[in-house]
Amino acid sequence: MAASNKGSSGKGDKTTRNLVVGMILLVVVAGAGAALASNHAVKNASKPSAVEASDGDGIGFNPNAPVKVDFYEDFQCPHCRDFEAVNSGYINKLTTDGKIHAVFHPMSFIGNESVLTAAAAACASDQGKFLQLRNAIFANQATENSGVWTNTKLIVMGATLGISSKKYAECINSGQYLNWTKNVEDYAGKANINSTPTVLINGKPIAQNTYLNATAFQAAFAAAGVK
Amino acid sequence: MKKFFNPTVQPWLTLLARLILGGVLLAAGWIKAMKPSEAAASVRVYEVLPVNIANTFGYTLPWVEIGIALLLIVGIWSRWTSVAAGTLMLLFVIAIAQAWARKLPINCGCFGNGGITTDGKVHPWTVCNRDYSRHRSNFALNFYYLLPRR
Repeated sequence: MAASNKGSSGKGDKTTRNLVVGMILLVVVAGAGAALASNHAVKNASKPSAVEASDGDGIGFNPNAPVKVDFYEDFQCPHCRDFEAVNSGYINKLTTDGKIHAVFHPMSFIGNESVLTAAAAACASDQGKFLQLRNAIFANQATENSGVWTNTKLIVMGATLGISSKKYAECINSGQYLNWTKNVEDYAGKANINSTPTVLINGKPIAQNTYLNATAFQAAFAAAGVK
Repeated sequence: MKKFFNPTVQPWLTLLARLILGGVLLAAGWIKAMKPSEAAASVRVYEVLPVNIANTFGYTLPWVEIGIALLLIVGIWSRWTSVAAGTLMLLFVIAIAQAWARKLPINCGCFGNGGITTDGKVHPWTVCNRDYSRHRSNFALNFYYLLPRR
C-alpha cells in the first residue's frame, strides 16, 4: 500500500516519512540514552553514615563480626515479604546481638515506591532505626507502585517506631538519599544479583529452597559457624 | 500458490502480520523499558553475555524493540524492519533454547518479570515453552512477510 502512494505527491510524502522516522529515532535514542545514564552509580551521592563503601554502599552492622551476610531485597518484592515473614526475627536477633556482619542492600528495580522506601530506610538508619523501619515496610507491603508509599506515610511510620528527630523528616522530604539508591542498584547489577531475596553468606548465595524454610535457613547460618 | 498470494488479500494479510508483530514488540519493549534494572537482570540470567555487556544490552534493548515496533506499525522501511525484527526473534529463540538446554532456572523475561524463578526450579513447560512458542510464531510471521509478493 505504501508503494501505491509513492507516485502521487512524491516530495510531501518523503518529508512526512522522514519526519516520522526522525521522531521514532529520537524516541529510541532518548529512551536508551536516559536508561543508560540514569542507571549508573552517582559518585557524589549523599550516603547514610552506616554505609560500607567497599560493599556497594550497603547499610552495614557489626563490621568486625567474622561471618559476613549480604541481604539483597526490594521493599516491594512479594517474595521478600514472605521471606521476611518467616525469617526477620532471626535476622534481627543475629544483627542486634552482633553475631553477623550484616550488610543490607535495599534494591529499587520494582519502581518509584521501591526508591522511596529504600531512601527512607537509609534516613532511618541515621536515626538508629533501620531494622525497625525495614521490618515495618515489609509488614505493610501492598501492590507494587499503587500509591501506598509516600514520604508522608514513611515519616509517620518512623514516628510510630520512635524516631523523634526532625532530621528524619527533613532527610525524607529533601530526598537526601535518592541518589544513593542508584548506587545500591548499580552495585547489585554488577554483582550479578538476579533475584530477590538473595542472601550471601561470606559471599556465597544460600540455596533457593531455604528462603521460606526457617529451619533450613538457620541451618545455613549454623553451617557457616554462626551460633 | 497463486491463490495464497492473491493480490487483493495479500496486502491485508501482510498488514495484519505487521500489526501483530509490531504490537507484540511494542508491548514487550514498553513493559521492560519501565523497569530498566529488571530488564538488565533478565538479560544477565541467560548467562550468555558478560555482566557489564548484559547490563548495557538490557537497558537499551527495550528501546530498540520500541523503535522497530513503531516502524513496523507505521509501515516505513517495512521490509528492512521486519528483517530486523526477525533477527531479534531469532536471537531470542537461540537464547531461550540454550537456557532451556542448560536447564537454567529462569523466567523468559520477554514481557518483563525476568530473573531467576522464585522457587529456583526449571519450568520448561510453564515458562520457557510458552514464550518459546510465542517467539516461534512471531518468527513465522516474519517469514510470511518476507515472502515474495506475487
